[in-house]
Amino acid sequence: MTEINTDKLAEAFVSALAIDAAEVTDELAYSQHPKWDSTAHMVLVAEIEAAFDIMLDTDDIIDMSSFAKAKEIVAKY
Amino acid sequence: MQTLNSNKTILITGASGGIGFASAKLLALAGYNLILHGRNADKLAEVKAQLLTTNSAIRIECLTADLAELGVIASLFKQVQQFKLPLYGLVHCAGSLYEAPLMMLKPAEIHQQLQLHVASAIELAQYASRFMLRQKQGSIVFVSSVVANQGAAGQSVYAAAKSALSGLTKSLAKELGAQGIRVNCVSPGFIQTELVAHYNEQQQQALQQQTMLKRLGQADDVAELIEFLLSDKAGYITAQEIAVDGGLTLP
Repeated sequence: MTEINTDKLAEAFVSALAIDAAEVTDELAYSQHPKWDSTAHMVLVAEIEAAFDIMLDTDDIIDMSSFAKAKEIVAKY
Repeated sequence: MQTLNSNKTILITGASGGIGFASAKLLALAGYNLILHGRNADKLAEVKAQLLTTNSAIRIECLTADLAELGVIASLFKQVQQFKLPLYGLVHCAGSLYEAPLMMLKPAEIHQQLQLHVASAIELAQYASRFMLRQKQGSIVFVSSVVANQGAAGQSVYAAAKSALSGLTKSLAKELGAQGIRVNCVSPGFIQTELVAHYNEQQQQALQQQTMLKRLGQADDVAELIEFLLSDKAGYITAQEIAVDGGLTLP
């Protein structure tokens, strides 16, 4: 597993979910935060793919249920 | 030369077929960069060369894949990713007309048709929209058929597959509209392309008489609508299914 740029990932979350940087912690979770709904998830995927120049597999998109999980997933690419 | 559309890229499936090629020609003239998909690499190379004679200022990339095969679309988009072109539009023209009476439908052919016309449309939209979301703009055009609404004896699978595009268009338009992505569907009537080249003269004349305009359609008739739906002129049009059939659909 490679080291990823966590700041870049956090920026993608801030931009996609329209939340404050302080809210981006490992505990930030899909459908737990009011702004991380299915529509925001779609935008988030696009933001992450653009930021890291990757194409996420559909299984990873489904599994990306928290910021902590997103770090693990992006590190695979 | 920078044109209005030089920062936009359109992916056309079935780009060497009648409607696909006609659309590619118009879009090349309009200055869009193009990603052409087809099953035959040589044919695609010919199409690319022809298009570059119409507009040498655009970038054209080619992708070869059989959309009826499971799992090809993910790898197709990994190549799209490598092109580093901002994907703005998707035109899904790839398809084949499968005709057989109900009692003679083979399960493998049924699944092949559903994969080619329906599952591929869903997957193409799924991946293409991820590129469009990056720019918060995009336009998806599916190619259905008048048969989807009218039905046709011997074309039950084709009609079922094409009519699925109607629900897909409306649902995706609702899901993607807030992100600036429009989704529409064109329904050609009897268009003179290779798809219907096996119709004899008598059958063609009969169909011609059923249209209000008393002529069969040309691929360019459909391509004009596709180009319009992709353009900013259609910026407030989404979730629509528009027939290009010379008036064939009214009883």
